[in-house]
Amino acid sequence: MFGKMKFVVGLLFLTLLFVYACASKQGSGYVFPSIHPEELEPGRPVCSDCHDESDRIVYSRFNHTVTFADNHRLLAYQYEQACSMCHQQRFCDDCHGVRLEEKPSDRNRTSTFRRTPHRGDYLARHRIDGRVDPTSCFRCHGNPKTAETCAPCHG
Amino acid sequence: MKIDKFVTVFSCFAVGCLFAPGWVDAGALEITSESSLALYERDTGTDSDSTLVPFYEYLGVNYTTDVEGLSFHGYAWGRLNLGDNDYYRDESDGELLYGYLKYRLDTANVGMKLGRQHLFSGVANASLDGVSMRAALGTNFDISLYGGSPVALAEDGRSGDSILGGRISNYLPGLYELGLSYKKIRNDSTDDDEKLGLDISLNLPYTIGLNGFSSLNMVTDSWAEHSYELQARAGAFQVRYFLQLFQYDDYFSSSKESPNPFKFLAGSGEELTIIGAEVDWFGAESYEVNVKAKNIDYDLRGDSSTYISGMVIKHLEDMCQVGLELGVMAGDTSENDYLIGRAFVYWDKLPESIPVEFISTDLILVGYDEDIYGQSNSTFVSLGAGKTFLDKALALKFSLDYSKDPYFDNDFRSKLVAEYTFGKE
Repeated sequence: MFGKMKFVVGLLFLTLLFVYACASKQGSGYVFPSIHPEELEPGRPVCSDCHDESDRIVYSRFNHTVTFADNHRLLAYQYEQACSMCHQQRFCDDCHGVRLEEKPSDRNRTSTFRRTPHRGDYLARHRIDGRVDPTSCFRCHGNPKTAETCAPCHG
Repeated sequence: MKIDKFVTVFSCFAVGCLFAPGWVDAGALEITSESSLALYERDTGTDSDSTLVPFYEYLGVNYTTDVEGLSFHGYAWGRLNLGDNDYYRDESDGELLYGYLKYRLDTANVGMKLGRQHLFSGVANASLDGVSMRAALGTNFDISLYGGSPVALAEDGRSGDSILGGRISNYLPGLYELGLSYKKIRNDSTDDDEKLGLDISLNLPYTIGLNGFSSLNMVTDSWAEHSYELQARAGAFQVRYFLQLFQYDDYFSSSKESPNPFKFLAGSGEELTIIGAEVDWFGAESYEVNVKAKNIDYDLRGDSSTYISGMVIKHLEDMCQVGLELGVMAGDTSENDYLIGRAFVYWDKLPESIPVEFISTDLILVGYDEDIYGQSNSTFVSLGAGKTFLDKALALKFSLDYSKDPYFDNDFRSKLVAEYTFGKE
C-alpha cells in the first residue's frame, strides 16, 4: 500500500513538473538538438574539430578515439542526450542490449573497425577477465535477465 | 506476463494509431530490417556436433508524426531455428527491446517517453516498461524522472516489481555539471536495490577536464563505487588518467534475484582498486596511436594484475581502416596472465573490377600462461565481404569465422546478413 502511495505521489509530482516545464518556455536552459545539426562525414568523429570548450558540454571528451568505446560510460551517465544526437537506441543495443542472444562481435562480424566487445575466443578469455575485474561483467550481466548467457555454466 | 502482453498490445496499438489514415502521409516512416542466417556446429543435450541454422530478424521502426515533437520508436528481435535439434529449447525466441512513444517540446526543453525503454542516467542503467521524462528547471537545472516495471525482473512474474528514480543536475555551460541521481528497484514487493549517485563533470583551464561518478548503496549504507577520470589535451595528444574503487559487498547484490557468479562476491568483503592512464595521439593526420596501462589491485586477495596495451590504427577515407593491437595481462597469479595480439582490416575503397564493395578481416591470437583445458593458445580468424544495392538501401554481407581455442577444436561459422532500410532520407 505504501509503495502504491509513493508511486501515485511520484506520478503527481511528475505531472506537475511536466506542466510547469511546459509553461515556463522562457528562460529554460540549453536544448540539445534531437539530431546533430550538421551531417557528419563517414568515419570517426573528432568533435573538437568544430566544438570549442565553451559549449554547453565539453565535446572534446566525446572525441571518438580508438578506445572511446571502452571509456564512454561516465559520459553516457551524464549526457545521454548528446549520444542520442547521432546514435539511435538500437546502436547502443548492439553492445549493451544483453537481452539479445548474439554476442556483439557475432552480430557485427564484418564491422571489424568497431572493436565490439567479446571479439574472438572470449569464452576462454572471460575466465581471466572475470577473475581480474568482475565489476565490468556485472555492469551488463548483473541481473537475472541479462545473466541468462552466464547461467548454463555458472548456475 | 500481463505487462508483457500489455507492452506488445500497446506497441501495436501505438503503431496502428500512428499509421491510421490522416497520419501516415504526414509523418516520416523509417523501417530497418536486419535478417541473418548463420551456420555452425554445437553440442546439444542429446547430440554432438549438431548443425545449427539460426535465422535472426532484427526489426526497427521510427515514425515521426506531423504533431510537433511526437514520434514512435520500436526495436525487436526474433529467432527461428531451422536446424533439426533442440539447442535453443531453454532460450527465448525473441524480445521487444524497446517500443515507446516519445514527445519532445524543444522550446521548453521537455521530453517524455512512454512504453518500453532503456535508461542511462546517473545510477540508472536499466530497461523498464513505464514512463520517463526530463525537463529544464530554469536556465541552469535539468531534472529527469522515471517509473515503471523493470524488464530485468520479469522472469518470475511482475507482481510487486517496480523501478523508480531520477536525476537532478546543475550546470554552467563550459564550466561544470553536477548531478544527483536516485534509483530504487522493488522485486516481489521487497526492496531489491536502492542507490544514490553523484556525478560530476568539471572543465578546468588548459583543456583539463574531470569526470567522476560515485554511487552509494542505500541498502548497505556504504559506498559501492568511485570512478574518476582526469583528461587533458595538448596538440595532437589526449591523455586520460583514471581511478576506480569498488567495494564488492556494496557494489554486487546478494538479493535472491542476484545471479551467479556475482551473488557470492557480494559477501566476500573484497575491495578492488583500478588505477591507470592512457595516451592517444592523433599524429600524422590519418594515424592514431594509443598506449594504455592499468593496475588492478585487491585488498583481501593481496595480489594484483597489470594490463598494458598498444594500438596503431591507420585511418583512410571513410571507414577504411587497418589496425594492430597488442596487449599483455601480467600479475602475481600466473593463471591470469595472457598475451593478446589483434590485426584487423576494413576496406571499402576497392577497385570496381572486384564484385564486392568492402572486405573485412580480423585475426586474434592469444597465448595463455597457464593452460585452459590443456590448450595454451587460441586462434581466431574472420573474413568478410559485402555489397550494397538499391541506392545503398540494401546491404548484403557474408562472413566466415574460424576458431581453434580451449573450448573448440576447429570451429567454422558462416553468416549471411541482409540489411534493409526503408524510408531513410
